[in-house]
Amino acid sequence: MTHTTLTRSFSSLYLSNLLGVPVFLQNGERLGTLKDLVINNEERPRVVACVIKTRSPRYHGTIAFAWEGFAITVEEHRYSLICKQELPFTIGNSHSLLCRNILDQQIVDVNDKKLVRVNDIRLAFLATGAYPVAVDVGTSGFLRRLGMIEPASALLSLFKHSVPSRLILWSDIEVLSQQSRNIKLSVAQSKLLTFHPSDLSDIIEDLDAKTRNALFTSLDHEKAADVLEEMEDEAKVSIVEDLPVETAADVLEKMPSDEVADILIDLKDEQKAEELLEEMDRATSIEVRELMEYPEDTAGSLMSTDFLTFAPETTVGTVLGELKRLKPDADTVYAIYIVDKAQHLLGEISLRDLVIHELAQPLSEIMETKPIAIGDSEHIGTLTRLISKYTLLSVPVLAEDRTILGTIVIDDIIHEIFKNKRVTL
Amino acid sequence: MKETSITTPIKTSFRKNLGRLAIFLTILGPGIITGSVDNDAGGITTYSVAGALYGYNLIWTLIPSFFVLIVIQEMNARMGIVTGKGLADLIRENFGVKATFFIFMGLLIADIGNTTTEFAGVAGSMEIFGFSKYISVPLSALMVWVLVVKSNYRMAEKIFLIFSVFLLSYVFSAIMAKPDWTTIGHAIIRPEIKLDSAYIEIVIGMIGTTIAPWMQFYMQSSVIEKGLHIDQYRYTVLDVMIGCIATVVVAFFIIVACGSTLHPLGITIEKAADAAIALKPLAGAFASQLFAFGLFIASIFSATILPLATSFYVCEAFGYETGIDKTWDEAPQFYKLYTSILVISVCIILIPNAPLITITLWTQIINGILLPVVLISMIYLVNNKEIMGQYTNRTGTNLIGWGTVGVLVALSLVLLFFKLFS
Repeated sequence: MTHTTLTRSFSSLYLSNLLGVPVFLQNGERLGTLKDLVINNEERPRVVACVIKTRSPRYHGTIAFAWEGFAITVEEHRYSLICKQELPFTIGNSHSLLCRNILDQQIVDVNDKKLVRVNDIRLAFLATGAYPVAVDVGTSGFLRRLGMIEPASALLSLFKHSVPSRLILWSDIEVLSQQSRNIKLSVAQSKLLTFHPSDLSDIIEDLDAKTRNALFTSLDHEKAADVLEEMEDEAKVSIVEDLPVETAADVLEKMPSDEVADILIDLKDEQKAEELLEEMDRATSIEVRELMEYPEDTAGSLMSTDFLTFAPETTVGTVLGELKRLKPDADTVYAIYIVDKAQHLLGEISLRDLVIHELAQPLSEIMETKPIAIGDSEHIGTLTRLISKYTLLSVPVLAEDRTILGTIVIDDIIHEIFKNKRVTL
Repeated sequence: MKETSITTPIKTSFRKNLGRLAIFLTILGPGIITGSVDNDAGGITTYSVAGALYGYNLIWTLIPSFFVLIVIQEMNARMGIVTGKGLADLIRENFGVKATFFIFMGLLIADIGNTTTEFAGVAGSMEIFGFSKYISVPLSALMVWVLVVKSNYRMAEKIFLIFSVFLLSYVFSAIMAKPDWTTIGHAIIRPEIKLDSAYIEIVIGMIGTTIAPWMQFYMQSSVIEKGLHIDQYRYTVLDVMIGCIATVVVAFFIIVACGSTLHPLGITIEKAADAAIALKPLAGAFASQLFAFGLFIASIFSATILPLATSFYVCEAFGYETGIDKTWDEAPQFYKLYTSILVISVCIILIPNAPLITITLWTQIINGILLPVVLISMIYLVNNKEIMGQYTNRTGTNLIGWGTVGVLVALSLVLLFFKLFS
């Protein structure tokens, strides 16, 4: 048998072209068939070994050999592998299997920011080695796997069409599921961390429970809180239920108390809600507990308890200094509130008004003394009417004695309006 | 912050109780809905025909069907809870493209057939109320389409669940038919099993319609949709059982209704709607209308869920964007497929003298071939430690599982033999 080694003359192949091809020894003896390719988990991965299914009495079932010992040959469009040297290879934690871990699995398309399923993998053969360069997520990859790519393209070419193909470069994908091998999602973090929390939450919601939890726990608490906030209510609850109590408490502490209260109310397991409240720092858990007392359709259930209050004699300069020191979130400083010693609301000042006034001016001189406010037990309907009538960014929430309890910002209400719309449709 | 409690404790406890009820409803659901959809137009037809032909004789088949249903659906529920992945996902990820393609093409074709049967149910039942099928079928299809594409499906599902209570109308139809309970008892305890081909064929038909392939996919996805956890497993098993009981109870009363009225007079029927018409002089106009109304509800319920579920699994397996929370632009393949299934089914029904019996027959054959394939895949997956961890099947479950597969394969082969060579 004469084999022409063509390693240099074909630059690229699909994984589906290679899986199942026969593997021969140099003396022409048939060793077995190619079952999988092993890559190293690097930024630009390289094929490091072959997994071969063999009936050879020298080995048991499947065996991995280092890629260096192989050459690919082609004869009348039939590929085969020649094993020049049997270099035993141990698959470790820093390796992935192309067929088992990536082919047919869901991955993240980093550019389109969505989950796609891998139909095929394109490999490039260079002088330095073999590299997976792209994944095929289109119809062409699917047809190639079925062995129907040629008849399909022949058929479509009659109508002057071609089989739609969609390749995504390896640098633009993120492999998530590693099945049983618990490889740290460290590379995943780096690319996925550049996503907007809202995009990331969309992806996490679409994942299966195991991968979802693995990915979520690999985020730092701050990011995790941002992502969690963006999720659908059901997904939020499901994630919190799955997390260990300490981790969940850490993440929840980074979220606005009203959001936390909503999640805890929806938990199926009341015991877990109690454990989480115990685990959180005292101030937060007291706030959350109070918020949880409010019935669902009242202003109180929506309010955030993160807001800034000052005494009337404080000067503009002091307030601005405080803001610089505290660096509060944008939605907590749409307005600041002026209260007496007993926390009764006296007035409010918008951030804009604060910025345009002289530093030495006391707040009492520039504040709006009759701010539009809402009672904590009033219905959400009243709230949405107020907000749209006066086009407000935030509304203070008051107890019956005009003590300020919290604020509601427009973001919370937008969410609420959409939620209601969805239910009543 | 102030520690003043605003709401009264009474309100809070009311809310908590509401919460508990909500938990109960969220956990109880997948099994019950699957069970209700199971008694679709095809099921009602088969049970009616069985009752008319053999009286109470075939009621015994419901007992093994019941246990097999529970065993299979429990496996689906467990797989869904442990992996968080749909059956379509698991099949694609573990068996590759070719097996996936075979299974899902089969599922797609069978479900177009099933959906056609559902619209036949709509047509038949509405004709009893005096509406032409050329009005009732396109209108109900449009309604179903708008409901799913333009509106809130989850809401619709809940409404359907409430509507499925109307399936109990069969209980009243059956009681109004004044059945002979002693004979029924005898028929269950000591069935006279016959060995002629017509009898075996209808036994297979009954088991086939009770345990349909698409149900496995539907059950598993519903469990995931609900976000159930392993500590809620026993509630889920309870839910599965309630669903199976609902399926079997409704089937029982349909057989009883037809068996005590049509069978003694030797009236044979081909469609479920025939049963409703035949019931009129025997059990009264009200019983007949109840039967027809039950058929209508069951048909429209399944006509909504079947095409939707099918498009969902096909897209899931082939890697297209899928799900009703996506817009048409985000998931075009999903919506196109869904719309096509509806349109094809409606067109078939509206063709004058459409060969409905042939369609039903071929649907049953494809289902028969598909079911063992799906079940074998399931048993393989549920026993895979890499997928299921410590929650693989126990020996007992495996024995029942493989036994079921063996019996179903044998029955399917017999069915194929009868359909193709008789």
